[in-house]
Amino acid sequence: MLRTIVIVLIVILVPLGTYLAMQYGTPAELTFAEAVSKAMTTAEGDMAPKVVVVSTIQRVEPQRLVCIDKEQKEFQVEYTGPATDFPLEANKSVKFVGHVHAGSVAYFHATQAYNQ
Amino acid sequence: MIGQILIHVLFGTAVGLTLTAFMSMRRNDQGIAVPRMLMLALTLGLLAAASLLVTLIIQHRFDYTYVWNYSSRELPLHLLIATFYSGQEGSFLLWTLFVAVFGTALMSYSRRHQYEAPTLFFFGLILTFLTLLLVAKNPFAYYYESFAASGITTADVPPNGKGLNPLLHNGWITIHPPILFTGFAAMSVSFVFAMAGLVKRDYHRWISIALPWTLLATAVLGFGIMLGGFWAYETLGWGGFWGWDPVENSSLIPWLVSVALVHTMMVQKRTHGLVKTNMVLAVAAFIMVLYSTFLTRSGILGDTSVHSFVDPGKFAFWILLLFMLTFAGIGAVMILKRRKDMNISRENFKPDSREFLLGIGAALIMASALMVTLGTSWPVLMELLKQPKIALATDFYNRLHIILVPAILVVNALSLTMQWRHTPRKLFVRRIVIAAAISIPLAALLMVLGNSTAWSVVLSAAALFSLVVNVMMGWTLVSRSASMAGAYISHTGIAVLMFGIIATANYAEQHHVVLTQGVPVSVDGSTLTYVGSEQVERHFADREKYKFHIKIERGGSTTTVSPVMYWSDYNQRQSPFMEPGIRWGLQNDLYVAPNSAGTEDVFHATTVQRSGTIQTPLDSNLRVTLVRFTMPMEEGPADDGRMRMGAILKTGDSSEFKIVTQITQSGANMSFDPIWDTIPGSTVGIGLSNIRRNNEDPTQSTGELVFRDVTKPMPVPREQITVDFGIKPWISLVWFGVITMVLGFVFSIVRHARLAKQQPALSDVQLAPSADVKIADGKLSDAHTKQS
Repeated sequence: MLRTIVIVLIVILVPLGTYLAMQYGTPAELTFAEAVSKAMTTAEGDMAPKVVVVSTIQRVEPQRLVCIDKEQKEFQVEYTGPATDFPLEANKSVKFVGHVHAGSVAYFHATQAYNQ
Repeated sequence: MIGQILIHVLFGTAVGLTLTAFMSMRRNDQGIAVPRMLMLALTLGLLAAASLLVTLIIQHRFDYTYVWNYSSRELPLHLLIATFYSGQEGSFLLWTLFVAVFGTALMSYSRRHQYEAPTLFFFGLILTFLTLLLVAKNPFAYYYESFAASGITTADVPPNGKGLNPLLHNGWITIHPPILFTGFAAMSVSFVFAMAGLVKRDYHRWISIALPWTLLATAVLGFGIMLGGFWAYETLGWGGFWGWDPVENSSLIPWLVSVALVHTMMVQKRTHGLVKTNMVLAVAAFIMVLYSTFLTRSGILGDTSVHSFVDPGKFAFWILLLFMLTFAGIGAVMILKRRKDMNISRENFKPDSREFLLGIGAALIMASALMVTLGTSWPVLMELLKQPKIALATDFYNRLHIILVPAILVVNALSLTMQWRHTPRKLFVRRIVIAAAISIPLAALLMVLGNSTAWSVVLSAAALFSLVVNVMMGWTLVSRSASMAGAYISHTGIAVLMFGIIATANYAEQHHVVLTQGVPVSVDGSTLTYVGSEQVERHFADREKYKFHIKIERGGSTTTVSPVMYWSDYNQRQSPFMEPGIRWGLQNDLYVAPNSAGTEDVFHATTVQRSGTIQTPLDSNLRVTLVRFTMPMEEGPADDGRMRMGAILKTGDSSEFKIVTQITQSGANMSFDPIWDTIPGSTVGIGLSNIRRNNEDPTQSTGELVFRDVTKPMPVPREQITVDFGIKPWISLVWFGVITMVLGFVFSIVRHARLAKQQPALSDVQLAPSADVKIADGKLSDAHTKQS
């Protein structure tokens, strides 16, 4: 009977845990404007939440990438993550993960980049 | 050079220890003197290496990369010593040393129980991997070796080290990490004894031998984890003690497995059941230590934790992975090889027995461990799937534990009302009714007092039920023998800890307050007055540290707390480090965490972009346009040599006029001293208090203008501090609960250490023969009976 209970526990908990992990462990996919708005509503002292912004690189400048998001709005990306296995070049579609640095000119600080 | 040679010699010694212990194990302990000697030599060698590293740190030998990387001349002695384990290399050395000390200390103990050869073999194997890690992450690497690619030579010795992260400048660093590493090292003991039991086909006696050590490991690791929480609460200023961060979780997971193991070991000790479960859990507890080490040291979780991680390099990464997989493999192979032998003790527990409920309790604790492992590993899983990885939100853990924790508490309480093997129904019902009659009204009372959310009602009812049962049952037992009280004291501590969690989660309040010097501010029944700041630790040139004294009047009593803010060279003074000020209390803590400090805005500072127009704060009809900035070469230096810049401004209908500011530069920081002027045709004074130049697009440059009424005396700005003021009700129960839990462990350790001494010698025990032989001889049931 103990074994049955343990098996039932596993059968219930593993899918439940995986479901909850997917709920709480998948970053929201936003436009840059939405990411800025989310950063603004974050409590003072807390780091802006990590989000995904699907972007197309417009041009590569020293220290930054100028991209457009799904709404075709231009914004700047500072990428400080590991070297990617694809080139970060103009016209490349990339899924950037990071957070917004608000300020006089807001920009997206990405720490992960995935081939879109 | 001696250090580097020593590390390589230690690795060789560990390999020698493993090989000779293995041969001795195969030859019935023949030649055991050699591995015994090697174990001792290895421990002494590690002690010498640790002493050498501490000496190098104290002597400020910055020609060693590790010393340069983590220490500095400014550190006091206790922090210099703590530097020893502040980096990866040093902490690996400390862990290795502690494992070796346990291995040496257990030699005579394991000899007494005829486990010496396998014990030495498995300790040797663990130490082989740990010393190999030291070879990969050698704490004695020279600075010129580490930076040879940058053209650094032996002549280049840095004058000072990079120093210790200011957040670690705290007395707790001298206590917390050594305790945690003692717990990690102690976790290897139950694994080693379990493996020895498997080697010797001694599936029951190892339980009694290993139990005091498993209790010790659980107690020490649990205490270490909570010390970390206390440190975070006292120092980091976010107001909590647990954040489900990967680093916290990585200690919690092996602790949870070990707690489950302690309970299933008790079951086997009394019933001879759960034989395989105990083997699996003993292996799992140790593997989880290795897995957690892999998660937090391999760099794989970098970018998903508030803690910082250093990539250890590919070699160390693969050693860590191999370390974990090797021991998981050894454990799995040994258990699978002996699984048929171990099946002889299999029996079904009756649902009205204590062992049945302890089994369920252990399963629930393991479920918690599994879920925390899943959550902590989530970024790794996402990395493998090439998906964006982020750390799971704390709600993931909270939601699961809202179900699991009350269930564990109730099962714990029910198990204690049961007897081993079988419980008479009347006895069980009587105990439950008494406990429920006390705990349910108390839970209802808490609801009346405002404990109204569903989760806290369920959790508090479960904690009360557990508390009442433990006190009730514990009291009955203690009156007979105090040594039996350990489990009850520990469980009581956990219930008390739960009340602390419920109280802080439900009733803690936090307010964002701006305090101006000398101006009392009323917040939630308290009056806060910022008295003033005081610079401390002036003798250190590498920091500028201030205490902000805040008087708190509450309920007729007055107290002063002093949160701290400081700027350090460690981060080039880019952002301040902060520590909260706390008024400790039994009923509540008053917690003041600083956010920022400055002066009050008496000059109505207003930012304006180049070509932008603003209304002046003192006269809404008066508008000012920032035409452009003037450059230093245009303005020339001030009389005192300071650089000058200016801004050309224009009011709605007047001609242009200029205001000038004087700039003092200190490193990367610039301070502006405006020269006041009056806006033509008005009584509004104006000054330029900042310029933020945008070099790439000068039209985006901004200036900060300040204003005052020139008909009034120049206002003197007072100091201001922004804080988060929190009241933490009954948080003392959290600390009190943990101390009580650890105290209970101490009772249990003493009791089980005494019982372990009474274990019969291996030669007097009927060991489980191979299952194949027993089946062939038809002696299966006989063997079981004899062993039982």
